[in-house]
Amino acid sequence: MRKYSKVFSRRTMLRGAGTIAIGMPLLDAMRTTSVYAAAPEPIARALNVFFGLGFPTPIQTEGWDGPLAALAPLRDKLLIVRGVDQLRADEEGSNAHYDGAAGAFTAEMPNGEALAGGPSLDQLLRYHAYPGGQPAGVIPTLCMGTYFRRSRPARYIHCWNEDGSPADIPRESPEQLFTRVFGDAPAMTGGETDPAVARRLRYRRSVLDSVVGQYEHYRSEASGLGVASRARIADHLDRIREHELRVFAVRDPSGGDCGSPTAPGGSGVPHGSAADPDGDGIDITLGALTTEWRLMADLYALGVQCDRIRFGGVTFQAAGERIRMTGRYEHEGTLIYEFDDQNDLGNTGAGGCSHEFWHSYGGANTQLRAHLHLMLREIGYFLGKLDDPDHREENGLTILENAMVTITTESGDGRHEDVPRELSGVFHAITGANERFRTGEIVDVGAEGLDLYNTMLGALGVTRRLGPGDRAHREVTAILRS
Amino acid sequence: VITGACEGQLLDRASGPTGAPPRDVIDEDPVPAPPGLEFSCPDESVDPGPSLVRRLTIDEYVATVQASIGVDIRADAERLLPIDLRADGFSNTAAALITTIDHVAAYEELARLAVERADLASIAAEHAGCADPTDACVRELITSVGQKLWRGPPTEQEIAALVPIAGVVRDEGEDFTVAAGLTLEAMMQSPRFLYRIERERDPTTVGSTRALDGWEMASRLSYFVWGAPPDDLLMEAAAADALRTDAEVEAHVRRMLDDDRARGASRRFASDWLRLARLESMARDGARFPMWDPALGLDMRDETLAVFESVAWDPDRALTDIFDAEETFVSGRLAAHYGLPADDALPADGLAPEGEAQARYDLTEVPERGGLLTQGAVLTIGGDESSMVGRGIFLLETFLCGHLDSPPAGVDTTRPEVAPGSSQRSYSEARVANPACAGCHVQMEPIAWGIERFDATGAYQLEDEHGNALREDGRLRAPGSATETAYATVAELSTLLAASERTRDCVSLKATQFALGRRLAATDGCSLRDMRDRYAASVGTWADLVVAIATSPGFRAIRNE
Repeated sequence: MRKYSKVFSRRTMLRGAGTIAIGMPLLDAMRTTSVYAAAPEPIARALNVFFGLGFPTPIQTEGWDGPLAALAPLRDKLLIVRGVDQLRADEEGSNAHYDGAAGAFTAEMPNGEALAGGPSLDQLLRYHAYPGGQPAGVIPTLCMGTYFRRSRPARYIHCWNEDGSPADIPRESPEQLFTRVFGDAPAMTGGETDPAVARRLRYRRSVLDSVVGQYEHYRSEASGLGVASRARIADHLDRIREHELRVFAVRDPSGGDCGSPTAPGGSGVPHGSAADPDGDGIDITLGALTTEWRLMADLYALGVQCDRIRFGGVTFQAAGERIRMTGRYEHEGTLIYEFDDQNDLGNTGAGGCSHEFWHSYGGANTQLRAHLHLMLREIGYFLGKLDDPDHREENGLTILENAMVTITTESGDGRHEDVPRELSGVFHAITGANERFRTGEIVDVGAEGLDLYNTMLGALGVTRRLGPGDRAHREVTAILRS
Repeated sequence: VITGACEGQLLDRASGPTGAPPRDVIDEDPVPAPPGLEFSCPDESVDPGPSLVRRLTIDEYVATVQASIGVDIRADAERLLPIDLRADGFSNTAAALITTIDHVAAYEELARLAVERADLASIAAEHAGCADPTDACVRELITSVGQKLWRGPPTEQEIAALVPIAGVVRDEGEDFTVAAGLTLEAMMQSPRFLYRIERERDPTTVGSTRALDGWEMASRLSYFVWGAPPDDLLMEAAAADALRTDAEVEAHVRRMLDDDRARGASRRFASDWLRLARLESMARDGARFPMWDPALGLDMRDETLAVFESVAWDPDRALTDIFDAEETFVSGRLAAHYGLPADDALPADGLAPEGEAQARYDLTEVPERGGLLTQGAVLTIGGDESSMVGRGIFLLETFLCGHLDSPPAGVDTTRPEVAPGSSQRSYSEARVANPACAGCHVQMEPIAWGIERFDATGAYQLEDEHGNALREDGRLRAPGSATETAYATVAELSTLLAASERTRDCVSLKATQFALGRRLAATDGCSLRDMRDRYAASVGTWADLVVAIATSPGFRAIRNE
């Protein structure tokens, strides 16, 4: 039973970055329904969590007895949603890895390689919850991931603007992520003692003021630009405003809720073009992979906890990922598998990558299960950080329990032998979003991704719907708390 | 519909929605034409297609800073700016050129560095007849230098937005040079500098399309032909509205093609078209290919660029000669890897981009080599396995502009094991012979049979590692055609491709996409037909292709939204 209304209060006071108290924009009135009515609505957050290669539907049916067991510590915090079809994401001439990845969180067919078919879930909640923008210090959208395959953006980008363009380019190393979240402490204004530095800051402000004025003109109809172009300019303007805050805003020197995290050291895995040698895959050890990922997960979770991040995407292995992993994989004291992909597959290059276990699905699927178990365990590691009881919010729930976190992958199969099957039954798991959605269960919804996503958005008060405007919505009631 | 959501609500926010319109307002996804029908023009109506402001790529930004204030900012730009996402085959696809906060911070810092290194006194002297930090003097500077930096005259509103900077400088008691420098910094972060902007809504125009004005056309030409901003002659033509006729446009394009910057742009096209950047990080299994050296990947990239340039800039050779050019330019390392006879090397024409000496090799007596298909840049497609399917898809999509859908239901896509008696070719022939597979595989695999004798590193061999004899005969079929042409050797296949109308068409489609910075759509058919007709009537050089694109109606107009 819901404790109180899930629409937003008019002036919910939130703790922003540092020690600043910030008023939320005007939203729907709170309508109390229970004794818990006084509890404030928590901060609106939405995170898209993606893992590559897919979760074959037959293995999904094993429930908590299969690889899903890796998420068992969080089973009460998650609703496992099976039977979600992403068929409308199938774009002719494009392989299902890409289509399924582009359909994740958008439920639509991509628009070429540059654009998704529409906005992602997280962005629609962002537009709705913060029509006037998020509080100072909050990063508009932040994506990060540990991934290697990158021939097309949708393989690793999972936050999309309204026009289908990426809402952010993922940070792919701990150093990059740290810099984005913590490393750019704003210059202190008002307290500068060096006259030259103070003067330079005044000049920068003057220059940026002028620049802002020019972008404001070009995002207006008077500019003569078209709709899509003005949206691009408006997006650029948003980035300038955020940059201005980093440069000029006064911040608590202590770092506020973020404390003073230590910058991470060098990374042990390749990035950039070295991470994807033409789709042929890379050699990597289990230790290097999980060390990198967990550092990223820790940093990102810390960014959420100290309210630098409210919306974004997290990727653990890209769609169609190609890695040749070695290493002994133990979980809770039990040996799950001794990875040696290249040897197991008897091949080199792309043919020796874990990806091939999905292509050759069948039999015991020992290696596929082990890889899948690992991916889910590592996703669980990240979610567990968000479930930290030391960061309970004022309604008594953890960030994980309050946020709308959506976990999905690229396909319900992976063999590339049947696109409809590949894009059917795509695994999803969602969090409770402040008790709007059921948790602790597995439900078979037999629904389109569009309907699942639109039901989720509707439960959070978002009236904008994904998909064609004339399409009749089918509420997926099985996910809603009664 | 959109203004209520997008306009006027951004002023006080730290971050927030992009102001993007509802999806139904912008949902105009271009639909590509089926292969073979790209030039179809059923209604005889030219549609310039959707447009979008185009952020400058890193290369364009560097060239624009250089041309604007004479500073080479490349090293810093490559250090600070995020890489440009490659999408739909090219890294200048406007839809993928988004702007992140890292771009914004980089643009601010790069502007500061560029101004710091610029000869401000000269710039100020050239563009202002005064040297005091008054509004009037700064206004004079902005008006003059603005036209250069922004590829067109600044508006009064834009000038007014910049003038207050001078006031801040005066308050600090500093001089005109400081005011000029800060003004330039602001101008280099402006949308007019960082984006290629064209008016998409023109209330004075009746109809759905509008011819580009002189300034817009000058920028389209210069960024296409040079990857750089217009020079003084183009700007003069723009000001005189003298970029309207075919003759005016062609004259400027021919002039521009004589400039070295045109070679740089052609290299960028070739690099994207042929996916050469992948060679910079290509790897091969060390145990299986012990001779592989990552430096070979760079040599292969440089080889293909050198051959491309050699053909592209020869006024007597069609661009499609790159498919059967009987010459190559390789380092000693790559020559040894290819097994080229040392005495075939002629004096080096120059150095490869990264300094490895290249020599020209005459391949007329080397039957297995000659043309793109026998270069490492193509032969390394397909991974360690030299996958026939992977190679075939690349050849089909890159040289014949074919497209394939995903495999049909029920097809086993696991990689077959090559073993004694079971070569790649035998599996491939089985797929082509299987009616369930042939629909697609007959389009892509028989073309790849011709390069079976080259392994995953581009080395030539007559047997695979299992002792299977390798062949080089096959069949070529153009997308949309039911006709196949047999070939006996890779040399014959190369000659077929060089002479193929479809190959020429495909190169022209790729170059047009590069010029427009977007995917081509079925609505481009009429303009593409015009371009093809012009190109077909020429020798077929790169210059001819550039002229044909630049004078095509779609390149010179914009859809009036």
